[in-house]
Amino acid sequence: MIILVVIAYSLLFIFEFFPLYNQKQWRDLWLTMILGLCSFTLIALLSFGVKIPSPAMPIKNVILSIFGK
Amino acid sequence: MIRKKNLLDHDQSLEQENSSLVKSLEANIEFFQKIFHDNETLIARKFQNKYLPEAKCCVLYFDGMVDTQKLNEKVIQPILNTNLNEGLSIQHLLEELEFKVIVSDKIKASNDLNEMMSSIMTGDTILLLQGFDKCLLISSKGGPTRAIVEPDSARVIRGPKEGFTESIITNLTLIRRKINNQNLKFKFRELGEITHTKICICYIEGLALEEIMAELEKRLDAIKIDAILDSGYIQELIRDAPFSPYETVGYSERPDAIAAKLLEGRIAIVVDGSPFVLTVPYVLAEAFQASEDYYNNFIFASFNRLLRSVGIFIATGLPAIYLAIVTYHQEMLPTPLLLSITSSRQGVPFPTALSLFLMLLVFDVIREAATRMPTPIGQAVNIVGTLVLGQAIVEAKIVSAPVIIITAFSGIMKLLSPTTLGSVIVLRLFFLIMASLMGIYGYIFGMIMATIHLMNVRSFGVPYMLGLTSFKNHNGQDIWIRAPWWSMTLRPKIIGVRNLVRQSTKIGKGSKMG
Amino acid sequence: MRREQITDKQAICLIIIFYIGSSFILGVDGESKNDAWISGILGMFMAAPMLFMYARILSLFPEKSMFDIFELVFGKTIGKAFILIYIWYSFHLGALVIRNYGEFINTVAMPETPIFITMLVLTVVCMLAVRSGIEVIGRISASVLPILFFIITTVILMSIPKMNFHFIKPILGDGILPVVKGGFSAFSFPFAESVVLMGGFFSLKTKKSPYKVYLIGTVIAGILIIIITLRSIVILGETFTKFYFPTYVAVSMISLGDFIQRIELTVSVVFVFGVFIKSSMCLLVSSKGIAKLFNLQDYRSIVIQVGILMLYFSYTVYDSIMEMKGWAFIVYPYYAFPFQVIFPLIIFMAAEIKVRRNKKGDENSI
Repeated sequence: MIILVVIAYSLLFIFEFFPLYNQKQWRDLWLTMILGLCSFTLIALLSFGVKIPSPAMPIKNVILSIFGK
Repeated sequence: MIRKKNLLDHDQSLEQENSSLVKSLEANIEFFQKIFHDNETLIARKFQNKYLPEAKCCVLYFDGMVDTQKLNEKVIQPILNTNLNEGLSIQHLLEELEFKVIVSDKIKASNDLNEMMSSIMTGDTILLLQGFDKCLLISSKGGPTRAIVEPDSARVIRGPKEGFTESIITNLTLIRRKINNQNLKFKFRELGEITHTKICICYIEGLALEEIMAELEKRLDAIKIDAILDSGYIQELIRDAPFSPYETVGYSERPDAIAAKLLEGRIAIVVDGSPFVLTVPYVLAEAFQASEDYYNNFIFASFNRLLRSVGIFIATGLPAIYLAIVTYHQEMLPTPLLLSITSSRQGVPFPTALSLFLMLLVFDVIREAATRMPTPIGQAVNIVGTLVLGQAIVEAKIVSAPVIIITAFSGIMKLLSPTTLGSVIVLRLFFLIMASLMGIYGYIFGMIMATIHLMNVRSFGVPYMLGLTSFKNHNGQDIWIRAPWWSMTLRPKIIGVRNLVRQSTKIGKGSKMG
Repeated sequence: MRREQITDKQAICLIIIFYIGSSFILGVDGESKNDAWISGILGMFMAAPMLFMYARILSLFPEKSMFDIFELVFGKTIGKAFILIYIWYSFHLGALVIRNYGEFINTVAMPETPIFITMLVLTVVCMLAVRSGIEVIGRISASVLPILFFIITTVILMSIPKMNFHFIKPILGDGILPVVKGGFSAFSFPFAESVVLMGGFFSLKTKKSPYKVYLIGTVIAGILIIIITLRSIVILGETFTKFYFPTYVAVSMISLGDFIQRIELTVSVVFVFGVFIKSSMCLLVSSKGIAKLFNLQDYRSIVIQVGILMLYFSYTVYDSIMEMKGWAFIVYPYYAFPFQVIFPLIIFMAAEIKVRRNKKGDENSI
């Protein structure tokens, strides 16, 4: 699983970052890199079976406590 | 690369060393023989006038490239037999020959080496004269060419039966004969650094868009290739979306089709040595149009056109849909059909996806083999294909019968519009993979992806899907159906925008009444 | 760079598909039972003023997207806060839509395929579409909508023999309260969700276009949704709220002769197209928002990363389909209320004041 993820991200790296690097769009490149890092961390955690907390439940609890249902 | 460089170097050195002719006839002949050394098709025929022995001449030409009868009767014979002593000035003998003796439609005095080279190599004759450092270039192009026959790639039952040949001049004549208008323009240029192939840009002034013309010339200028052997080279060198399986430059072997496209405001590119004339811009809808559509009854033509476009959908989609239904959505099928499919699949070892993939491949193998083979062997290939692969493979329970049916159906459907063959094969495989992943949803997503791709493609700035999604205005009149001629009063927008009116409404109404 | 532009017709098609996208399959509300169609009408009428407000905001600043308007109206800092809020909303909405689709496919069609794969395929298609731009999305909607209409009408016609009109009765049997609640639910899902489209309709042709698009689009889509809800009710009766995907079940009851039966696949075709358009728009808007937040020239370079994040988010957002349905009908209306009503109201008032003041300033200077 993690191997697949790494392969996918290296492909993405080639097709996403290199064109940006060649066009010298540094701002875009930085932002894409940061977002890519976030997503890579997430998928790595998911592939190791870590459960990532969902914001759905806290939101539900807050709303139910406000409207008291 | 190295080869090309050497050749070019050779060319340049040649120009630098011997830039012009000298006055001695023998030296000049030797000069040409040195340039074309080891080339024994070069013929140097020396002769002199009966009455004026000082008038020593020599004609130089390539064997096979010239019309020898014409050369004998119109050039050699007059020079041999005319009394050059009478009323001709010896000092200006070359001019005198040019104007008074030689019978030829096109003749030119020259001492430019490049010009001499290009004309002798395209089949003209060089006439050298003792005592002159100039020569005469006499038009004598001849030699074997192919007759004008009906093209194999686009046969018709109704309509003109002539097709382009390999000779550029013949091709231009064929176009010119269709459009008798002074606004039809031909612009020549040469491409190919070794082959020096002549190409001709052909358009109707006032109809063709200048932006497209400028873009085309820009792209042609950018071509730096050693050889152009067919219009296919140029087609790939100037196209948009280079990685797309769809053609973005059109081609046709039929003068009437090219004339019709010129009249819609397109630009044609004729390449010497190729019977396929290119047209730009090219939109997807043209793949479904055949010239016969415009000569037949419009209802019949529309029916045929619908068949062609539906055929493409079936050719690309049928294997994928079958696979999706059989593997993921069996409940879609009515019970009797499901039972018969299941029973025919019993005992078949391979999964449906694999057997479909293999059979589609086999179909294309047979098609490819039959195209290249001479007709008798081609028939043998067909028999092997149909009997051995079709019948035996089912009886041996290697592939189920429905798979064969689907393959055959899809294979025949894709031949309905031959220009899309390449894209259909790619698309079909893609849809098959998508359907094996996600069933019918995979097929739908595949369709969406293909549509997105098509909507992004532009051919010379014109959207590739032009007209395919509109039914209202005159853009859509000639896409899914062929509207009757009396209703097609305007040219397609965007391409023919400079002069939209195809026929004045009055005439249109009149013919409708009649 | 060339300004992207979509015609009014394309925008109307887009908004219709946007509306019927997920509501077509999930149904509009879970509370009012066989009066759900009345809730639908109610929701549509409740949404009307809001939609006029969105259209008004857009037409005050022609050729600007929601995010540009925030900065123009509130200045840099508060504007950025608003941008962030709407990035979150469209991002979350997109994730929810993708998840709806994933659950649907996983439940009815392909239980063996992992949900992650089905969602991944959708996300990849969306990323392609968004990278191609709003023009392509608009043109696809315009060319697909007639097919969808055809499918929907044919299915409705074929389901006539299965209809039992006494299922509609009793009208308002449980009193008015559940219907109002249901109407509120229908208001927030799907009608007022079109607040997201404010980020995408920067490319309309004229100043009047936003009104036309929002009005015609909402009316057509509303009628369609109400008819479909009614159809589900008269086929399934009161039990229809008990299904996760009522339309799908209703259509699966159709059988004409021996040959036409189990045609529920057609419903999922409509659903898949709707989901594709809806999540593409959400992805487009959130990418555009992020690009605006960081002052990027073009949003295209970050589309893939945003799409991937959206996919992961939708993968982790719910545990099960029960949770999804509960969230969609109970929590979502309250959660979405600020994004759909309160913030637009603030923006609307601020924008009106700003525009008036500017006008006055202009007159004074003249």
